Order: sequence, then C-alpha cells, then structure tokens
Amino acid sequence: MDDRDAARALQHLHRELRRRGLHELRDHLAGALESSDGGGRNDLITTLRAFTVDVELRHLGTSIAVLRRIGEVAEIPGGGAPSALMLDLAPAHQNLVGADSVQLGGEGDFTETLARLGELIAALRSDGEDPSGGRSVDPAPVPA
Amino acid sequence: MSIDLDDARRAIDDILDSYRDAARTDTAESLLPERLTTGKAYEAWVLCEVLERLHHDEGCDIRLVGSDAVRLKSSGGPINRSYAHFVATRRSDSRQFEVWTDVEFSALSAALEGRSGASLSRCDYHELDIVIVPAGTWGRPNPAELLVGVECKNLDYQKDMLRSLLGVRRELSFLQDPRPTAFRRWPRASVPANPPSCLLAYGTDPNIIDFADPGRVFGIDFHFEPLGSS
Repeated sequence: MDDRDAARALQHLHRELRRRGLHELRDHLAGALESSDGGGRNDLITTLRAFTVDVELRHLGTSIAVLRRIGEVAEIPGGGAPSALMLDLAPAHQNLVGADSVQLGGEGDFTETLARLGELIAALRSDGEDPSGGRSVDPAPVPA
Repeated sequence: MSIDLDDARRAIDDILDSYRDAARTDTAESLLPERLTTGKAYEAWVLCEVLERLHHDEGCDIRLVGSDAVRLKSSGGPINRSYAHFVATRRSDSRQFEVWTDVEFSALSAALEGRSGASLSRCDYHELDIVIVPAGTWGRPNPAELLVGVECKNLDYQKDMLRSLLGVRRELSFLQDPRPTAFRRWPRASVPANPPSCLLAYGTDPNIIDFADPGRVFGIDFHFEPLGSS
C-alpha cells in the first residue's frame, strides 16, 4: 500500500469514527498525528497505534493484569491479588455518575479489537518493508 | 503480506464493529471523560512498574495498607493517612518508604519564601501521579521529603509536557553535583539535585525518549512503557 492509499484508509477511519459518533476518540486520534513522521502510511500506523493504546487502557484485561502484577509483589490484606482497581471521584465527578467511586477496566473485553488492530498494523508494516531488505519506512518502537 | 486499500477499509470496519460490540456504555465509568479514565488506567500500569522495581531492584517487601483494593483518585491532594497506600520496607536496612498516588507536594519556591501548611496558595503546590516518601509523611510533602516523583502520560508526548516536567524539577530541587539518593539501585543511586529527589516520566509514546537529553542534565529519567495486557 502506498502513501496515497494509506491516506485514503486513514480518511475512511476518521469518517467511520464520525459516523459512529465516536467523536472524542476521533479527536484523540487526530491529535496523535502530531507525533507522526509524516507520510500516509506512517500517519495511518501512528493513528492505529494510538487507537491500540486507547483500547488497551479501557480493556478489562489491562485492569486484570494490573491486579495480578501487584498481587505478585505486594502483600494484600486477605491475601492474593487486590480485590479491585478503583477510582475515587472528586465531587464534580460524583455528581456526574451518582457514585463515590468507579471500578476501572469495566468498559469491556476488547481482546478481539486489539487482535484486529495488531493484525492491521503488522500488515501495514510488512507491506512497507523494503524488498531489498532495507529498513522499514516505519521505525520500530523503542524498547522499554 | 501485501495489503491494498480495500483490505485496509475492510479491516478498519471490522475493528470498529468489534469495538462497538465490546464497549459497554451502561457503566458508571463510561460516563466519565475518557481522558480521565484512560489516564488513570495508565497510572495504575506504571504503579505496577514502580512496585516491581522497588521489590526486585531495591529489595523491598511491599504491603498494601488501608484497603484490599488499589485506589486511585480523580484529583490530587495532600497525603491522607487514612487512604490506601503501599508501604515498602527495604530488607537490607529495614528502611521504610511509602508509595502514594495523586499527591501534591509543596514547592521549593514556597519553602524559600517561608510559606507552608495553611499558608500555601494554589501556586505553591503541584500534583504528581505517583510519589515515594519516607514512612509517616503527611500533608503535602516538601521537597526534602519527596524521594521520588513519577509522571505518567498515555498521550502522545509533546514538548509542553517536557516543559511542565522541567518546571516540576525546578520546584523540587537545585541543580547540583550528583548527590546520593535514598536508594541503592532504583530509581537512581545519585542525582544532580539538592534535595536529591528522583523524577521519572513514563509514557506510551516511543517518542518520549526524544526528550531525554535535558533530563540527563537535570536528573529526570524518561521511560517508554507500553501496555501489554493481551
């Protein structure tokens, strides 16, 4: 896929986000382009990576992983892993949701979405690799 | 594997369909601004990293105190000792640290002008996502009590975030020849700062590493910390 088609695919993504009423997500993903190296394919990959991070942060699996990791290194009252990952709310937010706190990670199991995002990013990366064996247009993530 | 425009469009449609099917809109969490909930989820992810480093690298035993749940706050404030937090006890010397989230520290400029406690105005304190302080610290830690401050950014790392962090460093300590920190190995054994606090920035954006150069001068450590639950 060349840069021009990738730019069209990105337009399709933004159009679909708007059509589905996902305006906050669309704005967030548009902001992510500020860190792109430019070019249609890089822009599309940068956007899909930002989408992946957003989904991971709302994914049930992430909060489960947080509780498991903490349970592995910390002693918890009652033993095992912590019982929940809670967000205690300021008064303005309490009024908004009608509760003092909410449990983070309850917005859904996005395992399939994350898998599909990963497949598309991998396909775009693979598609952009230099047939001569050179470096991909898209820089690999910096290791932690 | 080659992909054309039609393949990409179909893949995007499938992604958004599965996203719609999975997303629950009937939860209290879904009523909150997405930036708040995702930011807090990332804070929790980095909290895991901090606790693991204290345990494995610094040799600390860690206990959750005050609750059997991990509790974050949607807005910062002073240390409230009745609130849930972690106590880390270093096995080699029994020194105790406490790990708190969403805590405001009192600024160096306020201390220099003699303001503390009730006389602090809102420009005299700043929130950090995660802090490590000596056991027993209460209220807003002053710069000498703030042993580690951590900022977490799940957004694309921008230059204004670097400027903000440099401002936090300014309000924590003077630039000075390296001095020993309270730690043997992690986060640092020494830092060019007095008081010798450690300041860490974690982000999901690989570009965060591009901002590391001024951090080397002022004692700020930048870490790319992606999520990886699935």
